[in-house]
Amino acid sequence: MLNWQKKRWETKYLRMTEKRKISWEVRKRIGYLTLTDPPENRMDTLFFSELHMLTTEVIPQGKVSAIIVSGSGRHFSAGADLDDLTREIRSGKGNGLLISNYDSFRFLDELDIPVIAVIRGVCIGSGLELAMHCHFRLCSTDALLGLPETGFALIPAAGGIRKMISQTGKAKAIELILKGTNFVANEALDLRIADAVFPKKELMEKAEKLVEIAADGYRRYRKKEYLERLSRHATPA
Amino acid sequence: MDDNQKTILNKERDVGVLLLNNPPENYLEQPEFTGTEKLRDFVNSGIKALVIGSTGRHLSAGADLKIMRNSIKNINRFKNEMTEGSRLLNYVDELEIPVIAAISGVCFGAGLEIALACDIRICEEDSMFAFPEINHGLFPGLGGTQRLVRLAGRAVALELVLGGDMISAEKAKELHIVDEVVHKKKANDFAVELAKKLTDNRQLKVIKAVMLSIRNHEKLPVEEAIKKDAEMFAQLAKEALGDEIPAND
Repeated sequence: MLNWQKKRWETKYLRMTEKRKISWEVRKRIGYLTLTDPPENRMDTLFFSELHMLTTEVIPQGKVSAIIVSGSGRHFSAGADLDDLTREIRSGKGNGLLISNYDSFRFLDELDIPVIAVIRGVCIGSGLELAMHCHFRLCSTDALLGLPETGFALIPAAGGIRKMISQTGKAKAIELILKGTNFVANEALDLRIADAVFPKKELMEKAEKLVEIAADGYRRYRKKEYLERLSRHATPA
Repeated sequence: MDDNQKTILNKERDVGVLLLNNPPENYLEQPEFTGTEKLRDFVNSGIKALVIGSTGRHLSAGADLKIMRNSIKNINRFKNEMTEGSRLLNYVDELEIPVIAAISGVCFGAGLEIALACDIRICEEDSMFAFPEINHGLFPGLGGTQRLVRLAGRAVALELVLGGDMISAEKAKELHIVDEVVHKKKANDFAVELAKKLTDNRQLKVIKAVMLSIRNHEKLPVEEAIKKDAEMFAQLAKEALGDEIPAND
C-alpha cells in the first residue's frame, strides 16, 4: 500500500471507528476476524479496504498461530454490496478493486497457519467465496450456503469458481453456479464444501478445539487427519 | 459423419442433443465422429447446453477396427483423420456452454474419449467403461489419457489405459469418472432434463461467462484466470446494473 493510500485509509478508518466492518482481536494467539455489520454482514468497499489493511499490514506483522473467521450476529455474510462495490467498475475506473479484493482472500488461503471459517446462518455470494478461501469450513446445522450471482446475470469473481471446482468437482460446480440455488449445511458436507457440521452453540468451541489440534506443526498432516481428530474428540471416551 | 446419418442433431428448446446413430454398438467409423463445422453451426445457432448421447443400447463400443485397419494403409491420410478427431474433441472440450455425456451401455475406447471431453457424465447402472486399446497394442489417441489424468488422477488413468480392463458404473462413480448413475434407459432423458435445469433461466452470455471462467481456471495460472474473471464480471455488471452511478452519500 502506498503511503498516501495508507493515510487516506487511516483517516477513513479512524473516522469510521464506531462503524467498522471488521473486528480483529487476538486472544491466546488466535486471531479472531469477525464481520461486524450484522445482521447481513454485507461486504462493501469499506469492508474490503479494512480487509486489505488487515491482510497486508496487520496479520503479517502479528504472531497469531491460527485465524478464526466468523460473522457477528445470526449470519456469516449475505455477500457483496453490489451497488457499492461495482461503482468503480461501472464508472469505468477499471477492475483493480476486484482483483485487490481477491488478493485479500488469497492471502488467507496461502497462510501457513490454520484459517477456520465458522459459518452460522447465511453464507452466500462473496461471503461463501471468503469462507471457501479459509482452510476449514465448520458449519452450524442451520447454515445456508450458495453462489447466487448468475441469478443477477453476474458471475462469482472473487475466486469462487476456482474454489468450487477444486472442492466439489467440475460437474457439481457447474450445477451450483448456474442454478445459483442455496444449499444447507448437510448438503454442503456431501458436496465437500463444508468439512463438518455442529450445533450452533458448539461451533466456536469446536473451531478452537481444531486450532488446538492443528496449529502445532500445521500441514504436517493432511486436512482429513485433523478433521478425524476433531471428530474423535467429539465422541466421549 | 452427418451426411449418412451416423449422428443426429436435435434441439429440445434451448438444449442441443447430438446422438451417435450407428446401432447397436455405435462403432465410430471416423475419429471425427461428426462434422466439426456442422456441429459448430449447430452450437452457434444459440443452444445453451449440449447433450451427447446415442440411439440404441450403447453409447459406443469405440472405433470400428475394420475401417481403421483399412485406413491405416494410407498412413498420411490416417494421421490427418486422427488430427481431425482430436480437433473435434478439443472443440467439444472448450465449448462455452455445458456439455453433458449421456452414457448408455458400453462406453469403450474412442467412445470413452468423447465422454471425457464433456463436462458432466451421466451413465446407467449397467454401463461399462474401458480403454481396450492396449489389447491391440494401441493407446487412446484423441487425448483420452490426458483428460482421464486430469479427471481421476494419474494412478487411475494408468490402470485403465495400461490394464485395459472394464470397470462398472459403480466403480466409475467411485473414481469420479462419472458424476451420476441413473436407471437403465434413462441417461438421455436425465441428461436433457439436467441441461434444461442448468440453463432455463439463464441468459446465454452468463452461461458462457461461467463456462469460460471454469475453462480458464482449469488451464491458466490463478492470476490470469482471476484477471479474466474481473473483466467478464465488469462487463456483466455494466449491463446488469447500468452505468448510472447512484450518488455517493
